[in-house]
Amino acid sequence: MDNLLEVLTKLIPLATPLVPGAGAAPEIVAAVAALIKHIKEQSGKTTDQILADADANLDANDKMLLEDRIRLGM
Amino acid sequence: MKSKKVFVALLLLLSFTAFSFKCDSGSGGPSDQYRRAAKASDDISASLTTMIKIKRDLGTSGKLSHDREVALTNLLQKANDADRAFNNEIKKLKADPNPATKATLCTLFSTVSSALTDLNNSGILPVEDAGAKSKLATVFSTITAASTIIAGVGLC
Repeated sequence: MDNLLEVLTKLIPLATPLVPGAGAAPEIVAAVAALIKHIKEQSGKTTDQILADADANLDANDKMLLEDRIRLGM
Repeated sequence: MKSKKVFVALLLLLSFTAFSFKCDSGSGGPSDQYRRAAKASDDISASLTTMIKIKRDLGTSGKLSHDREVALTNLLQKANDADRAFNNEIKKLKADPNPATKATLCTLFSTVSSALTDLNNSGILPVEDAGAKSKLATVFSTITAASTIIAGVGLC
């Protein structure tokens, strides 16, 4: 099993009680689940495909950050 | 007290991850290094995507102050730029890293690590809202795990 995958799987039950009284954090559980899916999908890909995926993620991140900059008036 | 215990548990978990990586599979060949570095770079980019979305949700719902979200946005951009530089260098390899390229990758990885440290220290830890901080810290722990894997690749 991928080590990060193992960490993520163990993080799910820990996601809620990091701060006492903070309440449930379903969006965190969903986010971690999405990351687990992403990492599981890596195993069937070539290294070049993984690097291309990383590029696509980085591009999407730049786009979201630009949108946030505009929203925040930066 | 409970959060302290969970934090210690997370740290132990990450330590075990780093340790188990070194014992993983036994193949350990250079091409394995190359693939693992690529996977870790991709994991960091995906984790950053998650953190940007969480930051955005917290910002638009008023759980993050404007100034705090501006700071986080800048720090996430810095981390994303650092991961892009690292990913671009891995792409150039197309083969096993030699000592010179290893040194370059090591420098770029140090930049990624530094950006992630800044993201935690200057972006997440100062967040006033405990719930918001908890959510960001949880996602950050996944990024830390991915960067721990890069450290275990043996580039530095």
